Order: sequence, then C-alpha cells, then structure tokens
Amino acid sequence: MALILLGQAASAWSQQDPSGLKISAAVDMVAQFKDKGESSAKDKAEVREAEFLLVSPIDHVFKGQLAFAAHQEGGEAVLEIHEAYMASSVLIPRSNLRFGQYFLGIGRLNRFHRHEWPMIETPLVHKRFFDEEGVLDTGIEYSYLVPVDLYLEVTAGVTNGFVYGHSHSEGEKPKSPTQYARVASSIPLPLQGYSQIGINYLTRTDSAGLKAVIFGSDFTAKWRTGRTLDFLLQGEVYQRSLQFSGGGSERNLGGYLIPQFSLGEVHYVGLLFDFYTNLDLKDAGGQSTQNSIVGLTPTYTLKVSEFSTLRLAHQTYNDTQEGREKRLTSQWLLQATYMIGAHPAHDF
Amino acid sequence: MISKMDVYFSFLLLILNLGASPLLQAQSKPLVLSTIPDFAWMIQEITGDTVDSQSLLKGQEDPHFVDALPDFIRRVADAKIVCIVGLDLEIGYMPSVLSRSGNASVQGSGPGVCDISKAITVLEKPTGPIDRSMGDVHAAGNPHYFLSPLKLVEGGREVVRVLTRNFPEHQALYNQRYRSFADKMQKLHKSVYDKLAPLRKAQGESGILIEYHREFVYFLEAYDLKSYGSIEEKPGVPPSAGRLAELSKQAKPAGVKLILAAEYNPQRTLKRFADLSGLPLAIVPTMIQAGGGAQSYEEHQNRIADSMLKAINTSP
Repeated sequence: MALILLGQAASAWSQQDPSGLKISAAVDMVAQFKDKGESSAKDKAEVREAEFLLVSPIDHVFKGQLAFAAHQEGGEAVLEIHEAYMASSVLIPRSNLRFGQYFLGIGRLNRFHRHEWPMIETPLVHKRFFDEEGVLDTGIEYSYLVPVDLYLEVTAGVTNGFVYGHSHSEGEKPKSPTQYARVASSIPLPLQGYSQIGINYLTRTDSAGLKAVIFGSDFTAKWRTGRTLDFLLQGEVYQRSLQFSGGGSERNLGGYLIPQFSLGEVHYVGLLFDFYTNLDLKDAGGQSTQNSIVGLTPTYTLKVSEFSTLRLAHQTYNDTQEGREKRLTSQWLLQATYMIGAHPAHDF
Repeated sequence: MISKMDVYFSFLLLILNLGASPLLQAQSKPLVLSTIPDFAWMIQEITGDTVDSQSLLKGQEDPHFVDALPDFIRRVADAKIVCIVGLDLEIGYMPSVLSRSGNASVQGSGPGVCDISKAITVLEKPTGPIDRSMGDVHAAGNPHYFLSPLKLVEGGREVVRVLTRNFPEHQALYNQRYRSFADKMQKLHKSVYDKLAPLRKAQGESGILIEYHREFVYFLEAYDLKSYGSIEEKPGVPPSAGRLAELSKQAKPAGVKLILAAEYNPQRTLKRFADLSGLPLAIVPTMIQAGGGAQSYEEHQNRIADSMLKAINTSP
C-alpha cells in the first residue's frame, strides 16, 4: 500500500518534472484454491507482487530504469530490486546497449514483467529452466538490428552468474558466467496479423561444475482490430542439457502454447497448454522411462483497459511416469492486476 | 555438439556479412517515414522526388491502438526523418519503436525528429485536472487534426522546417512546393466546403451529427459543422447499454441527422445505436489507405463528404 501511495504521489509530481521521469506501480493479486489431488494451491488470496517502476533519460545518451518489487516469500513481504540498469539506444547505430541488473533479453516471457503475461501461473518449462519470474542478473547486454530488408535483431549478453533465476542469496562465483543470445525476426501474417519468432541460447556452469545449456524458440502472433486483440498465439519450447561435474548428464524438454480469443471488446478466453518431460529418466534397472507432465489451463480474462486485468482460470496437471500411478492435480486461480502512473510503451 | 565459440562466431559472421547492405543502399533516396499515410502523402507532395516518403500505418488501423511491430523498428532504423502526429496519439508504440531502432537521428532532439503537432493550433486541450477515470483523455489536446486540410497546411510548415534542416540544398524547392501544396489544400477545402452546404443548411443549434469518438472535431471545424457529441461517454471507453439507450432517445429530437464513425469503431455498437436512434450511419476511413481506399488526400476528403451526404439523403 505504501508503494502505491508513493507511486500516486510521485506520478503527480512527475507531471511537473522536466527531467522526463516516468513513475508507475503495478500490483498483481492472486488467489489459489485446491480442487483435486495434491495441489500446491495456498487456498487464499494474496498480493503476489507489487512493482514500482521508474524510467527516465539520465542525459542525452543514457536512460535509466529502476524497478523495485515486493513479493510474498514464505509468508513475508520481501522488497527487492528487480531491475536497475542504464541503457542507450543512441550510442551505437542500430544498437541497444544496457548494463546493470535486468531480466535477460531472451525468450518471450523473460522479457516482460509478470503482470503483463497472458497467463496467471508461470508455465512449467519456465519454472524449471528460468525460475518463477524469469532470470534476472547483473551484466551487460547488446542488441543489434541487422541492416537487411527484414527485421532481424541479434542480442547477446553476459551476466555474473553467481546466482540463477530468482535468488535472494549472494551465490558463489561460477566456473563460467551466464552467457546468452537471441536472434529474433518477424513475419507478417494474413488478415493483418503479425508474428515474431526468436531463437534462444543460454549457458552457465555453476560453482559446483554443473553446466547447463538451454536452447529453444519463442513465437508470438497477434491479430488486432482497434483496441481489441482478436487473437493471440504465443508459445515457447526449450531443451535443457545438464552436465554434472562428476560425469553424467540429463536432458529435459518443455514448452507451452497459449491461444487466446477475443469474445468482444473486453472479454477474452484462452487455453494454456503446458508440457514438460525428462528425456533421460531411467528406472531402477537403468532402462529409459517415459514420463511427462501435461497442463491445461482454460482462462477467462476481463480487460477493460490496458491498465487493469481480471482473470479466472482452472489449472490441471497430469503427471505420468511409466511404472507409477498417474497423478492428477487441479486448482482454481483468480488474478487481478492493475497499473497506475505513467507506464512505458509496450514492445510487440 | 555446437560449442559456445561456434555460436558466437556465427553471430559475428552474420553481422559482418549483412552489415554491408547499407553501403549498397547508399545510392537510394533518403527515407522519410511518417506514422500515418496522410503525412506520407503530404511529404511526397512537398518533397517531389527528392526523398522516399513512406508511412508505418496502412490507413485501416485505429491509430490509438497500434502494436510496436518489429517491422516498424527495422524501417525506423533506416529512416533519415520520422514524422509523428504527436499529442500522445502514438504514445502506446512509438517510444518503444524509436528506442529499439537505435537510430539517434530520430530520437530526443535529433535532426530527424518531426512532431507535426508543434505547428498546429490544437483544439480541445483540457483546462482542468485530468486522470484515467475520465477515459483516454489526450492531455495535450485532440490529436485528430490530420482530418482537416487547413491543419495539414499548418503542419506542413513543421515538415518544411525539418526537411530543410536535413536537406538544406533543397530549401528553395521545398518552399516552392509547400506553397503549391497550401494552394491545393485551400482549393480542396473550398470545394468540399461547397459540397457540404446541404449539411450546414440542415444543421440546427445542437449539431448535425453525432460521432462515435471525438475524432472528427477538426474536420467539422473546417467545414463549419457541429457535432452533438460522442456516443462514447468517456474517450476510449465503450459505451454502456444505458448510455446507448439514453442517447438514442435524445439525438433525433435534438436535430441530429446522422451518425459519423470511423471504420475501426465497433460496428456492432454502431449498428445497435443506429437501430435504436433511427439515424443513418456514415462509416468513413480516417486516413488515406493503401489498396482499395482513397489514394490521395483530395479523394479521402471527398469520400468522407460523399458518405455524409449519402447518409443524410437516406435519412427518414
């Protein structure tokens, strides 16, 4: 609440401020209720996250972005820095450069704040490969727009890698820092639709010698009429290879796909399809074991403006493994998000 | 297995190979980009064949709700000048597009920045405090000035100023062509003004028409026509069923003769309001359009006027 009041006061102040400072706050409230099986639903509503964002030109070359977020962590509200970086889009032609702490510029969900996602819960593949909210770290990232007759952007970055994902510890010096790259392009679609596709690569070797390599693709397609997003199709698929320091390896594959349809100017329905498997799972006899977790989450969204969203979803996970009884869990989810203040323009 | 170095090397090779293409393009005309096609047309009128004038939008879009398409980023990266409507009309996508383009010339105070609203006498600038509970209020005033030929003449001055700053060798040509353009717009205004005489004759105190959204303010001002108001109660907010019912009872008795709306306004709502009010609908494009739409500003203005006249002639 203090953040919100601060945001409102600061926003009013920033309208008089000639520095170009824009201030906003975003609040994400979620309620989870168990339905079937051993769901991890908390059976309560809570403010999952309150984010406070400041963006401003620093001078004629750099702009600064600072994002604080307060989360519920083990029953306590924890305030932390999400993003604190300097960026420039004028220093090198056709380039964007940023350094500091930020969400890595890879994939689809990882590049957006959670309150902007088209689903309530993080897809499984993201939870396992990129953590609940995405990978944020401190480092440097460079993007270059290749001068050809189609959109082709290459992004590469390197970050400390002391920690990975969302961590509150300092971590330990890794054997190899987090290095990542993304190549993105776009394709116009029939009926005035538009799509963006990205190929992503990330690697890191932690202090214990565990090497992770993630390779995958993201895809987003939109059809819009006026204010209404008629149809959204978004998906990501990744494979992760783990090489253990003592020998041995493991490969995991996961992905999600969400088609979302408009039912009118403010009503939307979507279906999140979620998939995850361990490609190298062995049974006690060392034989390969078929396994998968498949999730289905039908979602209704009420979006009366770009600043507020209400969602209702029913999430079901079907966890199967050869030689073991099938596990079915389900839960009901409710979400309310809103933004106040001067939120910056959206990327595609 | 692909090594880390292989991936980095591939990226580097790609950039170096493809980086040569701007050299190949160096002989082509400089690109002047506009957000809307009407400006692209105006700029081509003023510049003749000295620049390549293009627009990001095709003309069918609702200019309030546009995605920051990756293709926009690529085109802005190649542009020498980028002209916008301004007054926050493009605030949802252009800041992101400009920044992602990495083109210093068209950002901040760069020489290629061209905000045409700087030369416009703006209408409907809010005087009191505003906030989001009032809907999508444009704090700097109504941005739909490109629907008036007289406002294009005003805006053309800013275009000439920015063009001259970038291409001083063509200053005389731009000034001369701007004067011709202004004459052309004055003649167009007079011709459409005369054409719309029947509407002015039929117009009462409360106005001749009702709009869906207040985007025809400048068009109506140019032709001495008055609007009864908008079907939207708050800008950018779909009207409630109660609002439609109430307004539909008031409009006709107040002397309103037609509903004027843009092609991208919600058709179902418009049809419902037309049924309830018994008023004819004139649904018109608000920009020049590629393909089947108006190819020039003259044709565009005449199409709007013709649609209004056709609607009023079918009015019971």
